[in-house]
Amino acid sequence: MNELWNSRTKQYQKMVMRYLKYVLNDHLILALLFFGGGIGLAYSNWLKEIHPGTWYIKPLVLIGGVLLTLLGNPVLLLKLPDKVFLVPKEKDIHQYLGKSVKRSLISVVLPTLIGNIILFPLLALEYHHVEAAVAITVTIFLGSMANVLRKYQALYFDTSLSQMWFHLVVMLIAVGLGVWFSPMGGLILMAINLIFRVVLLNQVFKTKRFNWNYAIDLENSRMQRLYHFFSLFTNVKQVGAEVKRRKYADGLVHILSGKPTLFTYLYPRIMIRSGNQGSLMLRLLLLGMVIEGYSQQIPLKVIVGGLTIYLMVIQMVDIYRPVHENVFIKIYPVSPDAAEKDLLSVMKRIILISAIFLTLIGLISNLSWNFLVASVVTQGIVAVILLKWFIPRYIKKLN
Amino acid sequence: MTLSIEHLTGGYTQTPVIKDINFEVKNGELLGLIGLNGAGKSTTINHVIGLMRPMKGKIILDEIDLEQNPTQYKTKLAYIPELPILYDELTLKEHIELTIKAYEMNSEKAWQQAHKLLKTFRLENKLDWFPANFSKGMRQKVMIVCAFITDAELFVVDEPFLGLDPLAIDDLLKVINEKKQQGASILMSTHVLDTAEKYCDRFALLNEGELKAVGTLADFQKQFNLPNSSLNDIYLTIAKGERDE
Repeated sequence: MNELWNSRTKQYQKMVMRYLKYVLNDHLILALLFFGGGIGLAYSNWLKEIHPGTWYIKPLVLIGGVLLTLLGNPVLLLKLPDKVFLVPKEKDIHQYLGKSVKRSLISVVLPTLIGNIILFPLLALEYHHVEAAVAITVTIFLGSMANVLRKYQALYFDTSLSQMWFHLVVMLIAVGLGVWFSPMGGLILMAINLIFRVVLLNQVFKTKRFNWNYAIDLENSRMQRLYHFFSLFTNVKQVGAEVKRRKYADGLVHILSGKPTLFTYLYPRIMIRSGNQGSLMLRLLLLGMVIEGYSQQIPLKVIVGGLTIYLMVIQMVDIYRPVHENVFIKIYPVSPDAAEKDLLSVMKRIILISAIFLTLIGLISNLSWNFLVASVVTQGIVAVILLKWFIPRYIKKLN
Repeated sequence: MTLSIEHLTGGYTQTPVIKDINFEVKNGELLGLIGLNGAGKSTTINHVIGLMRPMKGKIILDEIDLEQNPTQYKTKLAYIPELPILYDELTLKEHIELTIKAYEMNSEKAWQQAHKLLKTFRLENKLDWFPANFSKGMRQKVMIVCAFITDAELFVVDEPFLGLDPLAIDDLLKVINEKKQQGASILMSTHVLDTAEKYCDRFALLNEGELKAVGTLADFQKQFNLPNSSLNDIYLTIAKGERDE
């Protein structure tokens, strides 16, 4: 079990490092600097305005502190086949989980630390004594650790006191005691709670039955959240499609389908419901519309309008692949050319609708013939390039 | 409608998996394609449904050659795969709609048949659900409904009994029988030999990519000199004999 944990940790770290290369790029760091600087400035200005003893400081610290104790999740590194292959080793799973607990406790330190750094000036302002502020900060740290241990306990069947409400009640009492009455008292109570959690978890490890399905689902959703985060910066193939019915978008599906044939019936439904492409298209369109609406610069708006449509189409055209991965497309009695013809028809509709939206929004801040003509001509040129050259070439390459 | 497989040789690489296979599935006939794992059943089926190109030989449905006229050939064919293949993003209703569009069927008539089948397979209240989230057996039922609403004249059914409950197996066999009565040909691969013996009109026995025999149970009993033996016994005798050689 120890060997298994070590090899999985190595794989996991390798994967995280690989994606972090894309995440920690110059643009992000610059954006974070600006964003962090802006927020920091606003926060320090706000702190200057409030005085010690203001009625809402303590409730704010309580809410912030309790929320910080909810951070952190078990890093389990379990995989679906484990419930088949590792079941015979269930008696030793506590060894694996023991390593995992250490890892998860280390992982929770950073977000809790950031949260506490943000909270600390408020504590210092209210209490004047460093000891009191530090005691409350440590209380919150211990609370978040207790929460991680609680989540491990919940991985087993028939475990009591692992519910969220129980944790919340204890946190409210301990942090509340620290904030209002005695910071040291709160710290001692939280330390007792943590010791209780450690003892309880050890007992659970020895006596209870491991809930494989729950543990694997929990890990899977943690990994999917991680992949979704990475997918904001680069392509991540492990990102599972989040298929949703999205009934409210049926109107749009019908508009994009036109008079539906086999493929025009399929493409819009997959685009809208699969989550990945549909939401990307919407985000790009919204971003384009925001710039069109706020900017006064005609050349910038015209370029952004064309660029938005270009980016939307080059992302959406990938819909061809999942549709054709279904073997039935090769079995159905349809001409092979229909797939391309219908994709062009759906893309034509997407371009037209987006161009209308972008131009109309742009007209709000620049109601002029110059903008209207320049926008329509540019988007027309982009549309011709995409429909006559880019999409046919892309499909040819895939085939 | 008769499916004729003539001197079919094919496979996934240069090395053929199936060699010089010849058999027919006649009008109104259910032919069971039987063989051990790796005997070449799936490869044969993949050739019949047009997913693979033969190295040699022909596949003809009445007078329509798959190679010469694939689109016309495919209008007459419906397929139920061993493992259900569904679109994650489409509801059950939309899968049926898609099938109607693919085969250019009369929507009203097709829906009448669909409702009948949905009722038979206890899916009528799940039209707005995503079948990709169903259990394996339920997904298989969706594949069955989508295939049997068509007016196809050849049904290719790959291991249909896996994952189906006994009631659904019985219902499927009834639907197959109905289609047979209407003159459709059915090619079905299966390992469930007791059921195959009861329901198939003839059998094609594949072993190591070669066709060992085609015929009725009586033909097999005579050919392999195993009178009164069941299909299962004959199959095991042949398979063990081949393995020990």
